[in-house]
Amino acid sequence: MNQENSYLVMENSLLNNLRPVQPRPDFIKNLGKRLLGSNNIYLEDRNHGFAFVLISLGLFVGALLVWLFRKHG
Amino acid sequence: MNEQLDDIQLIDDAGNGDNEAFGLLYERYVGKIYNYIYYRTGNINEAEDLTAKVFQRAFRHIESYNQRGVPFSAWLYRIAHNLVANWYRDRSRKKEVALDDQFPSSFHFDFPESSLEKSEESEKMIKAIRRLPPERQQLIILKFVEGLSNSDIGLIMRKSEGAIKSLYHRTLESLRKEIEKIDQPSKPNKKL
Repeated sequence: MNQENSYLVMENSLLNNLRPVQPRPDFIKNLGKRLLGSNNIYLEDRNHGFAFVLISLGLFVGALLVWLFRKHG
Repeated sequence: MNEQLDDIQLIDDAGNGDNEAFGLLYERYVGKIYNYIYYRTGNINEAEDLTAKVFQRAFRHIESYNQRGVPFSAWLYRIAHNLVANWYRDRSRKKEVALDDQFPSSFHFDFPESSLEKSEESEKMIKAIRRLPPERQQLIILKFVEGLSNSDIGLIMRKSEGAIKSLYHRTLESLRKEIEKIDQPSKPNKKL
């Protein structure tokens, strides 16, 4: 038997012996549930506008208090 | 080709948080990935555990997939390959039972319809494959279990089609030698 033929025999043997197997249906179902049932983690969008207003308000109130203390002090 | 186009749409949707789209991708590929891992590990429990890890990892990183330039299936196979490699590494550290010893029961379980002779032939073939280097095992499984072409295998293994063809011939040759070794086990020296 030449090398070409021996490869053909081996390829046939591989085709016959390495057949796809079926995973357990329970496993497929449960894994699907676990994957798709898990909650995605979302990062909240930061509201920069609101933060800016708060800081501005704080600075304004602070400055106002300083001005009032100086005026009446 | 249609499947490829569908994949792209589904991946986009999944990346935007559409779990149903990821569910469709999961259904499409879970069997293939399971088969690949099952034949690499020879163990149903490990195949289930590692298949779960592949899809968990894919689910977490689906948004970064698009930049990788390989088909989705190839991306999944690469994840599976890395996890199997890690599994082998951890296993060798733990020094558990040799994998060869585990194969026969697993394969009997999955091919109950096989005749004894057929089963023995399967076992011999699997045993010979197990003795090959991991890269060659991977090639054999992708080609014969998954039925992939050389070009698809090249994408997964990061090699050219020509390199896969050449590796395939070397793999068949080494497989033939391993089968011969199994058929003719070394006999004790009977010198008097």
